[in-house]
Amino acid sequence: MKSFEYHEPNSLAAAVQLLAELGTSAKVLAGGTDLIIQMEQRLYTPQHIVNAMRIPELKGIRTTTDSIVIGAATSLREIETSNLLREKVPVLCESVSTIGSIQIRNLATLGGNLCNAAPSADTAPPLLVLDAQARIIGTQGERVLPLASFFKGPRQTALLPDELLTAIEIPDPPKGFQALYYKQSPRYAMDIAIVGVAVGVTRNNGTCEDVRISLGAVAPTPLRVPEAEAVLNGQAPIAERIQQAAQISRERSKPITDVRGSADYRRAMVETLVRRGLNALLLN
Amino acid sequence: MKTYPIELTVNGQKHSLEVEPRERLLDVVRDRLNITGPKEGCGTGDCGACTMLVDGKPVTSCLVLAVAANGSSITTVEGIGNAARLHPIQKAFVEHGGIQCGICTPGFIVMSKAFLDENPHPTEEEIRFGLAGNLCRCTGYDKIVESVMAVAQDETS
Repeated sequence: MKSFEYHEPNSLAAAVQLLAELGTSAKVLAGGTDLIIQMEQRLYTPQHIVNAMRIPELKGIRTTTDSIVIGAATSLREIETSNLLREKVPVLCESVSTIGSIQIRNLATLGGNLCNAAPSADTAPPLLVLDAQARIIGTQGERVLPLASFFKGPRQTALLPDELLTAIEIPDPPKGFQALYYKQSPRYAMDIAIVGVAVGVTRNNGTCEDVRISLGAVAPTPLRVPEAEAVLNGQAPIAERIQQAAQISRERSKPITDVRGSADYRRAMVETLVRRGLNALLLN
Repeated sequence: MKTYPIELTVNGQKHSLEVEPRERLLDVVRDRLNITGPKEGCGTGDCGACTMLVDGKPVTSCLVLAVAANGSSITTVEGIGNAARLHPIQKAFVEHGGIQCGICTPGFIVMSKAFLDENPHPTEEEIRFGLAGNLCRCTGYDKIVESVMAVAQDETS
């Protein structure tokens, strides 16, 4: 790969200052499982690399009184094996297990998966269904964005050149909330989602609340489908409404045709997987 | 090209080196330190032939910059066993036919050891998913899985 200068800040403040100086000539390195490949293939040829992995503030999983905070530099393997996360937000652990291999997950980070912003990022639909927020720091200070506003397009995020994603904050899910993630891909492992579907719901005495549906790999960014959610929210979960929600989800998806699958197939799978997920959560 | 001083402890031995930032851990271990167990099979983290333990964790070293691994303790297959003293995992691979051409074997040995250390009593399915990051072109995987299963079962008895 092309030569570059290497920087290893050991504090957030130092990192932000570096990024402010270097701007778009720098790329942030986390696990490297996307970036190193991109640099080898010369998709990116940054003059500077800022390693984010020696900044203690970016690591670790902790709770507040009403949320869970995951540092952006936390490895996917740590997330996958976290008892705390398995207990509170199992859908995130399940989705992370579908990414790469153990070797990859030991390197890859949550922040990296989100900031790489592939439309198929497997952490995105579950986090969107969990109403996650992105905590960001830059020279202007800290800001918090709903994750839904973080993705701007394929490989594009809302981060300014001097900004770093510091953490993902997940509000404690409502009591009784359950969620699933389906990753449709040709291989059982080491593959990219053709379609990713996350659904979440709280069942309450014959109606469903907190209905959340998120799609990955079928649009320029991962997305929620509020029009589909509205069909079921506060309603009894009958089969016709589930089918309607699945149908609307299909209509809201804008997949492309590529080597992994056709747009038609992806649209069909959106409907199937949304219906399957809602059935699994609601009709048993 | 500007170089950076790093220290790597590989299989228990400390090395001080000057490396360019773009040198991968795989390259430094193989080409600078002459430890050639780990192999380059793909360069994209897909095949697992370059698997090493970095601070105890199995990673695909083709995706790690050597500078980023500064200060780490690294284990390659050479640190797990050798012809004079085979590790039980290596012995099992030999006995159960888990090796043909051998090019994937160092990666599989390192990954199997790391996997069994964390999962001493896996099911066959768990082994297959645990080793999903290692590819083999020769064996069709069954005998590799048998080899790992044999070690796992040995540990339970």
